[in-house]
Amino acid sequence: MDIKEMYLGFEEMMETKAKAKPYAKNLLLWEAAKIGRRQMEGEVPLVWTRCTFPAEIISAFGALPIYTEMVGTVLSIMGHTENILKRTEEQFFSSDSCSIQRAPLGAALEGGFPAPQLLIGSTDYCENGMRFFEHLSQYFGREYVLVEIPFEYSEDSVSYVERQLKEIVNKLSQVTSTPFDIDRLRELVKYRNQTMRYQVKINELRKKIPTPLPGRRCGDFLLMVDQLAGGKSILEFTKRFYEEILTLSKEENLKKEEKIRLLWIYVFPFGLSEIFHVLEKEYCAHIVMEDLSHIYWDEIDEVDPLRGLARKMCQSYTVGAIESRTHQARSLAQDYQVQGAIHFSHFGCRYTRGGVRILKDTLAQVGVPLLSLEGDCLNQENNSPVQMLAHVEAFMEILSQ
Amino acid sequence: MEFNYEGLKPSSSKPLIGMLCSYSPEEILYAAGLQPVRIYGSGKTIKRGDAYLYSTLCPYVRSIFDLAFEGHLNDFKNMVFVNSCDAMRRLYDVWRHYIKNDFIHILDLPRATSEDKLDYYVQQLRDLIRRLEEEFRVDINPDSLREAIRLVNHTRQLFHDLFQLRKKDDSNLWGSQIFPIMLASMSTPKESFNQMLEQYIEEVSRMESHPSETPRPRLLVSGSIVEQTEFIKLLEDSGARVVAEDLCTGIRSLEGMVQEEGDPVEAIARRYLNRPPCSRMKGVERRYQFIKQIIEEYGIHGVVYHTIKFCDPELMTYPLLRKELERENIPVLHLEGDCTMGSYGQMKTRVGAFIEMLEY
Repeated sequence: MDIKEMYLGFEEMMETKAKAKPYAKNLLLWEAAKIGRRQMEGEVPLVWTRCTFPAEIISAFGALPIYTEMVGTVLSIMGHTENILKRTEEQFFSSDSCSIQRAPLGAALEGGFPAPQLLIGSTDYCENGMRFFEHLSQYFGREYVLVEIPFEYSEDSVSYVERQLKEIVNKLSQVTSTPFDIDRLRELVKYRNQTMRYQVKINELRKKIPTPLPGRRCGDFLLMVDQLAGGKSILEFTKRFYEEILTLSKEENLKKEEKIRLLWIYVFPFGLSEIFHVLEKEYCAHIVMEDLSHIYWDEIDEVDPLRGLARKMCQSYTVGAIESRTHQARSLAQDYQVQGAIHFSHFGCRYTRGGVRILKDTLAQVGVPLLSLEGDCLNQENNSPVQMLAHVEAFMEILSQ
Repeated sequence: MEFNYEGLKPSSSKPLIGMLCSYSPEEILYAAGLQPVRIYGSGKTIKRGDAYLYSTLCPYVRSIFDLAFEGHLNDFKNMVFVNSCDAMRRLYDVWRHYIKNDFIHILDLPRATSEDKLDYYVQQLRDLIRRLEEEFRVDINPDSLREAIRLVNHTRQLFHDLFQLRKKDDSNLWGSQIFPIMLASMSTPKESFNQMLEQYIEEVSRMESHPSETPRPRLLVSGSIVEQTEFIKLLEDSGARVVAEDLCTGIRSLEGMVQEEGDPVEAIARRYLNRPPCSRMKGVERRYQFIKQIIEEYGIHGVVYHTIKFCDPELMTYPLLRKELERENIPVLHLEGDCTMGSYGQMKTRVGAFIEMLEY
């Protein structure tokens, strides 16, 4: 597989799609493809990281973040995951390890990506994610910095993370030979806050019954916002997306056939479109919110942006005890008036799977049943579409009663 | 030569506190007047635990939860967890939701070793001390901490002495003899354990070697947690001698002393952050350096890398360690277990083939 050709093919595909249907989501994907091409050209300093690390800090140095999750998305859209995953197993990676991490890691280890200037991991997600950067660090011979997020949220925790971000700023300044410009960071944070306000407004519109944009289309867009480089363009696409939903939310445009409202918990899988089709077409069951789309953080402090970004990282519901997730899931279920929740239990994800029982019991307390849909986000070998569909249908039958 | 397990006196007066990770600071628990006990899984098939924790989660964690859920850990009213990995965090969650104890604490543990991370960890240890003082109405002061440090350091020193004997080419010590002693050191009162270990070392030091015995390849077992001596026995029954264990239940957790001078909490923090790391810590280089040191000092002919299923840190570290070992021409065999002896039959064939190809 030639990674550069893959990215060129991705850009061509997204350009065609965006020109044919210039919806915000297609335009955002085209933007993602353009960023991908720039990453491959290797003319801009690159930093490998994950979607929970703030793009604003990297972009403030004129560098481009490569988000592992975004690489996985491109690989999946371009149909390369199966072969790459197989090849990682030949290199002694376990087939039990998370495919979301393993596919982009395999692609990177096969060569073709320009060497990054720095690698930044964080402890606010999973174990596989942290090890990902150990491998890349060895492969590229570049330093790997790990941001450690404390288990409990407090002002001391924010200070601890802020100090680590300051160290990263110093390292970025060194590796990009660019002085730190706090005003540039403030400007980027301002765009992020404005983008966030639109995200909040979109999520507010989604509370409407029936929901203006059913299915996973909203979630797909919102999940991508944090996987790009941030800045003004993302703000404009998000504003455009909000306006599209606002139009759809007008009384005359609403699809009236909504029978079941669903909360989706954790990632959307690739390649299982039949499930979403059946939900929407056969059961009029609409995914009206995803936990990953929820804005859980406060507005970022524009005067003191590093502290503001440290606070955002500490506020993540992926950090600490399960209550961060259960409280959020319960309030989303109530706020969006859902009848049921589907937890996509991704095969290799210990962090989310280990909490399913507690989530189930928590949502049951507010009368919301939860289906744990077991599968693999990327690796179709771990999926049994027929069985998964049968589980979804059985769940819908229960909710329909 | 048998270790005197009968001589290990259980502590009748001290409240028990369960620990699940070798990064649990025993010194602080002893200073609180508690009896820390490392909890091991049952080695049996999980019964009801899987209804609460997914079957694709670490079998050690699931086994522990199963034991607790079935009521086998009712003596443990107090538990200290470590924020060591995804599986352990989720165990902490289900424990609080479905088991309930008098005292449960999770200790945050940094993954890197910079001074800022050390300061953070010192603060975490002080928080643990404060909670223990409140819960058990005790005063944990520098003197009680130093006394506990001396006690636990003594155990480490004795093991250090014992390990010197294992390093010898003509050592008669079997891994399957030493391994259960290491397991016992983490789950019995240190006071009587140290006495028994002193006696044992004296006796084995006096033993003469048997140079006539057929030479065997010397193995290092590396990985996360092994709880069953039967696994070590399997390797030795197949023709090898296990001389070192880079495991949470082995040498790795017994290396490194706490400085007895200066601020005791800071000294404890330094020791735990700087001891040979497990794969959850940042920087595979440190882990490899430790393995390399063992290979040289113990005259290792081959490495058995044992992972437990779904252990992400170990599974993701393996390709890196394997590459390093291959570079040094050290043969390595990867075995995967599920904390039961169910797969030992299959393993035996692979172990036999591996041992046969070793040059020694």
